[in-house]
Amino acid sequence: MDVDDEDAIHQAWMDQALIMAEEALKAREVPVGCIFVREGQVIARARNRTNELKNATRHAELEAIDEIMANPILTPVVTSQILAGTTLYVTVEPCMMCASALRQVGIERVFFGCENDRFGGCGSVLGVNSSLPHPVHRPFVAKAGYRREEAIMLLRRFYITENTNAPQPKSKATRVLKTEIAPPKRPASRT
Amino acid sequence: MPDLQHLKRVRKTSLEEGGFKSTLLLSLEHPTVLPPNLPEPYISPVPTSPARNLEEVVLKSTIWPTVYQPRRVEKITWTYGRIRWIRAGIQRVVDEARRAKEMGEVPIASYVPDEWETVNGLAARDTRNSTKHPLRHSVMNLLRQVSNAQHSPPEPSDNMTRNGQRYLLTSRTLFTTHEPCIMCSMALLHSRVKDVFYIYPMNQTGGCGGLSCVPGLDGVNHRFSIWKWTSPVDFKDALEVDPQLDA
Repeated sequence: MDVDDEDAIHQAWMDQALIMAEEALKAREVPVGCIFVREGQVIARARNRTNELKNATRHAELEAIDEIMANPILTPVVTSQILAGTTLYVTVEPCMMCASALRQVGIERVFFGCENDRFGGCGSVLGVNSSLPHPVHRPFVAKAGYRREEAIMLLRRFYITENTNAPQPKSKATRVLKTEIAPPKRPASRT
Repeated sequence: MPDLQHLKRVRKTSLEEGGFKSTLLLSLEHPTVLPPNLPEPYISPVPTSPARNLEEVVLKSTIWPTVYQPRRVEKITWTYGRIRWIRAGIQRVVDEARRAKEMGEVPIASYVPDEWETVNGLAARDTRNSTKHPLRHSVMNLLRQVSNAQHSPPEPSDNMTRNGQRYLLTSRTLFTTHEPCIMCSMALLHSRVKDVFYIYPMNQTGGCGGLSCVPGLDGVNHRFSIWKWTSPVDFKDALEVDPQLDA
């Protein structure tokens, strides 16, 4: 299979993650969505639920990992690499918390849409996925740039509205939704 | 564009023949139209951050004149009352961790005293063994408890949950036996904790100075203070964990 075909497959999976991010936006959550794929099948879909659960750690990835862990068919025995052979598609770069969690459960690879300059744990702020050494957990491959523009536009549509859950809500009555998107600061692919 | 607030706009150098030469700092991204009688602009290296002490002022200013901006150090008053309060917090996590070990868990525990010190606060133990879930660390378990406690009472008149006054762990202190892993350190940052006290560093896996220092990284939008408790009493026999473990 050539690279273009493979990219088309990853983008098709990412479209399903984007549906979850859209759902988060409708629920007035920071729009991040994800799916976990194993042997060509979606085994979990999740989205950010931090506002609903009043818990800043309930990111899409952790929601999905809990769902997989709770399912005895998907997780018959707990090993050190529960998510071996599993691929994550997530609309935004996993934060350092999620990247560490993913490495602790042995994820195989991660494809994401846009980078996260504030918390990104797959290279933007810290390379928790691979460059940071860990005595036990093997590194995982993380690749950026799949449906990046769609992921950014979803975030912009959220942030243009007033986030009343933020520590200091800002008035955004005069804001206009921008549509031009700057290229990524770093190379689109990293391991 | 990187922030250039820490750089002075003009470099003044004295000339041998008397008088001064002024060199003006311009931005590449926002070029200024210069009067025609000036020499061509050139690219110059500049320091990336302000000078934090007087020695740095001298060193950095040899590259380009840099402002002196010492770090603001919060003055801490260590009253007996505060030390007693901290010791009680440490004792609480040690007790909880011992209980965790008795129950077949990894001996790690965390505790957040109540904001108004009217009740006993919330404590959580590591439960990765009993739940068969590798991410059920004490900090993650505690954050879930804190959010559950904040769910009630759901009175519409309660404005405390809005605008950050009760934004998870804002202005609160967390005690824990072992330095939190990267996941837990970032979870604490997301939860806007103010201070973290731990007893045992985890040099291979910790996110509060061991393997990395998450709240000290460039880019993160919240900082918290990290304190290591050095106790005259050693609990290590009871609370020893594998140094390769994520606490």
